Amino acid sequence: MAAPGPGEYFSVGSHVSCLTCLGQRLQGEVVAFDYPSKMLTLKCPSSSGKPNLSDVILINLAYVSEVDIINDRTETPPPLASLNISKLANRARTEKEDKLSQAYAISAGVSIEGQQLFQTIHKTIKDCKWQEKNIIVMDDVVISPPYQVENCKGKEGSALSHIRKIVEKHFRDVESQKTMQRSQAQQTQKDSSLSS
Amino acid sequence: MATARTEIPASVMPVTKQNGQAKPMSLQTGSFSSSTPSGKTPVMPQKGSSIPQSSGGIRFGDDWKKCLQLPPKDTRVRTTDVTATKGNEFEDYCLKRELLMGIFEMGWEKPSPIQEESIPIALSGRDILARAKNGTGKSGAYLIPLLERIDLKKDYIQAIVLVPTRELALQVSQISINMSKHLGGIKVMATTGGTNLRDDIMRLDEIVHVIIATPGRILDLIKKGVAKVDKVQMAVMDEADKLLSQDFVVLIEDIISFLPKKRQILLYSATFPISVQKFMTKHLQKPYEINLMDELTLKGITQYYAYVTERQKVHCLNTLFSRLQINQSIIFCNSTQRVELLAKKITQLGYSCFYIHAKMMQEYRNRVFHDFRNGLCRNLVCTDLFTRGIDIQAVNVVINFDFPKNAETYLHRIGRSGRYGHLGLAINLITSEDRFNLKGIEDQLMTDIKPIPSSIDKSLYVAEFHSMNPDEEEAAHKTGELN
Repeated sequence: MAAPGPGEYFSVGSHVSCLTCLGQRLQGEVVAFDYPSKMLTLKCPSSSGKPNLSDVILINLAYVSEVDIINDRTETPPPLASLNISKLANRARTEKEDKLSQAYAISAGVSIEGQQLFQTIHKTIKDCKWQEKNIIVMDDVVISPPYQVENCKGKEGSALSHIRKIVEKHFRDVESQKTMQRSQAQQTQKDSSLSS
Repeated sequence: MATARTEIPASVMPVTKQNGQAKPMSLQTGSFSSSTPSGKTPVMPQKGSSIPQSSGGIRFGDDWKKCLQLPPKDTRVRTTDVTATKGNEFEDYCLKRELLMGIFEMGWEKPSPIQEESIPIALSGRDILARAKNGTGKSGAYLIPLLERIDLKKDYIQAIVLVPTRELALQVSQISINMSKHLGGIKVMATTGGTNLRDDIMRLDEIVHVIIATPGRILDLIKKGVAKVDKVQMAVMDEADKLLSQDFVVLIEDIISFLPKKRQILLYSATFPISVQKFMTKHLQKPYEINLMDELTLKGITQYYAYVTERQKVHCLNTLFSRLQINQSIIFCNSTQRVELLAKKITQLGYSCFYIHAKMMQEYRNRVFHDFRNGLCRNLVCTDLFTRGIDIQAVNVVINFDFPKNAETYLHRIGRSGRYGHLGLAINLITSEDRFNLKGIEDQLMTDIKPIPSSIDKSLYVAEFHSMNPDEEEAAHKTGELN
């Protein structure tokens, strides 16, 4: 069917199927529709496969070539779920801080190795920040370029020894990854020689 | 370079699956201790030694994972309390291989949210104040760093875990023993009231590295000079809000005074009453604060009390039913017997109600609650079955027919988690026995519970009567909607 006219709208709760101009088929339950902006919001099964989660997709109908209503819903839609605004705000602020921290490292000219180490530490210890080219962990441990175990300085104690373990493990893992890649490359060569 | 250990002694038996949530089916009483399996004594790897690389990129040390005796996979549905993680792995924390083996053999595959937040900070030696629900992997959150940091070459008590109940002490010690079975002889002892003191004294003549205890018993042993805690480097207080209640707080302060000045304290609590905050200020150094609770809040809830005698309660409830505009209500009692008696009485008064309590089968309770949530009945009478607040939008009135014993219970009965614009009413029937409780709970939760007025403004708790804000009123007036 053609896109809805000014007086028409998709009912919340209806199931629709869309074919995008890229040939992608999207199917789900209508959560919201805004005629002026031609934006349709669909709730689809989660891409992660978890049954208690859903993907929410925003579709610009200007880029949809075909819309089919699979099941039109006519009853009054249920009330929208309440949103924990403060939780969402906290999450947005945290994500923003993380991105700014990464951007800072790049603009300060930190080496790739330093950036990767920061991400490894930050993965388990969030209290982690840049101070020029130094990584400061929990305000106790300072890691200076070139970010090796011996470059970790701070008050002797559990924090310092734990950070050193993380740094040591990080470079061990990086090295074993390189070894694995080299090994795979060699395997590829062997396969090539067999086929020729 | 030390050789990485790859053998598991044949005498190691599969263990009952524990994930820090479920209670073991059976428990020994009295003291517990782990022992080295008969025969070969495991050789501890050198601290900080690296794992030798072998050809083909396969790390020699990875073989240990193939030798694990894993329990069956737990396929039960889990809530976001344990699945909303950042994607860490236990290996990310640089734990000893033997400890990792114990963790995996308990069926723990990945760290839960509270474990993700706690473990690396605890390993760094920081004090921690963590707020988390029971059943979310909290035990593992403190036991993993605790066991990792035990030095087997030292033959004195290095860590203590304080818990408020004997059952929890036995449960935590069992988890410790299971998790540390490959660690080559960590000695874990549980000591609680109600058991033979003499047995505990004899046990402490031998080597003990970790004590898991209720406060009264361990204080007794400390004061007798039998339990020497002057070299403890880590002290954990699980369910700290209970441990710091009036019953226990004096004992806790006394125990703390015996610990060395340089020690690490981890506090785990579901609520943060004033008592926990005071203790934190006094004894913790720059604690790292973790809060994984959807904040239960009393914001938007109007709270009243009615001072009545026990015999007047039913009449008072009848009056409330006739005067309040209830969409749905939940009425709390403090015992299963009282739930049944009250439900019967409410029916006699001519009102519909469901009731559930702890002695009913879980499946039946779930069905009743589900039906209530779907609006099949207006009133629900129950005991404290819920540990995460009740989020039913339609419930606009909560009545404490019996007043709760503590602030945590009060918060769980009446509090709502993080929702704006959801108003509600809470009415507490108070007898003379409850009046001190009322004051205490008000203080701990920093909230205000007023005497019930003769009539209650409907805008406080009825959706249709919620006042529009001044701008909305003006806009509505301009459009002619108001007449």
